Amino acid sequence: MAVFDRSGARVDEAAPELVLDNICKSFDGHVAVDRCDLVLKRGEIVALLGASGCGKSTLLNMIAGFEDPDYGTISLHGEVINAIPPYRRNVAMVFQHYAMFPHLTVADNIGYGLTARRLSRAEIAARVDEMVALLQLGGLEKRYPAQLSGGQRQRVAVARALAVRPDMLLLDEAFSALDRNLREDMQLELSLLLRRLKVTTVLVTHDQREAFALADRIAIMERGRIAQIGTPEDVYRKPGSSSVLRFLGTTNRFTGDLSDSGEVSIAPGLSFAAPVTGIGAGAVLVDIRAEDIGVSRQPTALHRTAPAQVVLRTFLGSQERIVLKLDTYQVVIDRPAQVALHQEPLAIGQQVYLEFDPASCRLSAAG
Amino acid sequence: MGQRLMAPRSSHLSPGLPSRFFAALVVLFLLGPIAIAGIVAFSSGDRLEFPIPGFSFRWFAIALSKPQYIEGLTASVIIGVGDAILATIAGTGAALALNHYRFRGRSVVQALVMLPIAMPAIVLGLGLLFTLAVYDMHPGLLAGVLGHAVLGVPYVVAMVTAALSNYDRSVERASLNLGVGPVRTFFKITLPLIRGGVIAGAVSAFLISFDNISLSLFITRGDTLPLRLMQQLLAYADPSVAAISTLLVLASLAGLMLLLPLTLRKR
Amino acid sequence: MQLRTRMAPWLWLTPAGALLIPFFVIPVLITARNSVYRDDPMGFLVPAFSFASYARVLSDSYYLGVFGNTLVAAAIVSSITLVVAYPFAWLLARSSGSSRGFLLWVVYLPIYVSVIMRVFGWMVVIADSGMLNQALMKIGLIHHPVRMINEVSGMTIGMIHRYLPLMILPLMTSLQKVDDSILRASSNLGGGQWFTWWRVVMPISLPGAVAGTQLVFAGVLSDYVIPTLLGTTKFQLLAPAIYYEATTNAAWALSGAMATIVIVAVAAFLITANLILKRVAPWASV
Repeated sequence: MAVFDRSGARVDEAAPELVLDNICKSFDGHVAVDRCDLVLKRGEIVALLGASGCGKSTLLNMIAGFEDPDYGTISLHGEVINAIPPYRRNVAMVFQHYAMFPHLTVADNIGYGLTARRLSRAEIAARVDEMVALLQLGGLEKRYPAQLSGGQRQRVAVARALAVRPDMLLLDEAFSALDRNLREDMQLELSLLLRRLKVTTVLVTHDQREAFALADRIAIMERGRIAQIGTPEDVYRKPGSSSVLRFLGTTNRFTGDLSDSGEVSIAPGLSFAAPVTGIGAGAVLVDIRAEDIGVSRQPTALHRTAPAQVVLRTFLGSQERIVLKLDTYQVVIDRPAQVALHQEPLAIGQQVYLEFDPASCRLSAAG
Repeated sequence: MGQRLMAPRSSHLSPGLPSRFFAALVVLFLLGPIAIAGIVAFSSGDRLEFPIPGFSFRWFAIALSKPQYIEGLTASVIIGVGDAILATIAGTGAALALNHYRFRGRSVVQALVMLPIAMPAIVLGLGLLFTLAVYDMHPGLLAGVLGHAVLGVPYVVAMVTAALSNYDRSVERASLNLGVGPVRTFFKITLPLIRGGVIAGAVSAFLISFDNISLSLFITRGDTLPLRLMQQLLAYADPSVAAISTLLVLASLAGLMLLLPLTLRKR
Repeated sequence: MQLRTRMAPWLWLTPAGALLIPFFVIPVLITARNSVYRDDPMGFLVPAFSFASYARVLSDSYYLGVFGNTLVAAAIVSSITLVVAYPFAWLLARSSGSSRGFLLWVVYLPIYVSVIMRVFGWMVVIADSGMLNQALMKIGLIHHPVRMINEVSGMTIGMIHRYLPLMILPLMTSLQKVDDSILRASSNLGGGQWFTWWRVVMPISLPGAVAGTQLVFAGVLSDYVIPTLLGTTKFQLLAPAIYYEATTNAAWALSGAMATIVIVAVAAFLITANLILKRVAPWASV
């Protein structure tokens, strides 16, 4: 399918849509964004995922033009846009609390960007109708934001952004104000919509579920840097570092001793051959996910003596969570409820042994 | 790649230099005459002049020895305290009624209670002048208290309403649930929690009344301090007017600073 | 129990009723009643139904002039305070911390200080031998003092000073509804500075501007002290005129008629303003 940009020129679909090159930004001596590079293809959805303060919002604001980078360039369709003010960039944003214009009806909110672009009344009305149908806002056109529910307001915010047919869509924690069930429904709906429309999207969130639900690729950010970028599966299954591993999913952390021969011992009776790292012998931190550990009533290859005790068993719907006491640790283990179904239930106080694949844990130097 | 760019533009959302300059002009305009009046109060000269020839407290002594000022001050304080009390009682009750209940005629009552602000005080003054005769009353302190109280009600209602909207009604329900009747609940629970708004309203009513001229003209016999001062300015403008006004400002600011930690600490 | 909860609001309203009905509602009614009585030349109010006062007020050029002067003064003072207050209120709404505290203090202090002290300050500044004239003569801009005190110009300045805070505060309250994210949203959707102001900031500030104008109008209509101390008898304003008629002339019907006209005008203004606001800014009452 041939794609044309606004000026009518034919667009190379494979060419990068957005390029962030060596972006740096500091506030009052504190580094917010530290040499970030990012390349997006047309139609891709990328999530910037990280805890608060990691720089993700600052990066998004720079793409939108609300902040200027200290160094580095931002390019859209190969054109550097650093000097273009926010109201001339065609990157529409959905704000965390939606930033609805309280004095305009739903229809006028949606059409706002179009009036700024001097479209005719007829064209605006047609486009607004299109968006209302797309986001299922029928019947609400004449209402004011104060009369809408949170979920409805979010739809209006999305409709308003998409109405201007932006080159890129920016989502700034757009789901954090919704409650859980609504959030998941909206994420699914938006994900399908964005893929159908092939809208290039950057979304910023601290919620892993949101990132996983929507993104083609996830960039994990910490302290202003992009620690790792990849598909959700890559980032989850092959975390590049201890911190990335700990960020996603539920993790257990052990302190262990790494010997010269490459053996790690975590607790009496529990030791294994460490995966290859650049870390020297000595005290190490071992991180491993709750769902990567299994239990056995018999001693296992890496857990030979001094078994753990079952302290708590919780049914979480699709999963079963078991908490064990091992030496001085509280170990959390998640396993699919179906697995538990086919075994004899574990009793409190029961003695079990851990088993896991050493390749699934991550080591880092302690202290 | 990775060029360094020009120095970043200042964010288009923060105030620029021209607006700061403008704000400074407005501040100068608002505070200037007040500062000048304050300075003239300390003049050692005999008449109104600026800059002042020398520094002296003599006009303060003169002002404090003028019986018409002292009587005016006393009258104003009595009227002010009296009407603040009345306005606070009336206004707090009204604010509660409007805030807690949905009843027929609510919007009418709301409009009525806030109307004294929108209505020119001169009209109220004239009306009261006429009405006092009907009630067989005379212009004076009592009339002053009642008239100024009417003026103060909207302010009390506004402040108490603001305090009510910030507070959680479930504590009242808890009190009723535990067996305490509505009136005791009001005094034990509601009132302490909205105390800030009530006090702010009372202070506003006092200040509005203390400075009022258009209403006092009709319902007092020239008793209040502003009226006495105005008479003085019409007869012969001298720094004693500035002296007593400055004294009031300083005294009330001092009083405020003493009272403020008290109202805050009890929380 | 039903009766109790039905009566409850009215019980709470009793003190307000006891104060407002005899001392607010009734006086307004009596003013209207007096306006249709007759003024006896001896200074008594004759309870005989007559529209003579209205006829006089609405036809005599003196009284019409008084109304006209006051409306003109109110319009001028409102416009100037609106224009000056707007950027200041905008700054104030968007400031925070100590600068906000300072600016609020600057706005509240004049209200706190007696109006007499403020007028006194202006007298010192704009008198013939006052600060302003002296400074201008020293610079050489003028050779004779410019007459400002006891002139319309001096009175207008005094009124602007008095009512500026009353315009700033409601405007500030309205403008506080415009937070950063809304401005960014407008910019993000393509609105430049002017577009954003015209389409977003201005409409949201409209209710505040109307409220401020109402307050300034009510103030100017009622202002006795500033026209008396800073103004001139050649430009009579309403409050001194009504006071004069009611006390010196003891013309209760006449002053009643003037006051009733004011009540009707203010009521009409309030109702129309609210109706217009409801149509132009329906979101404000949502």
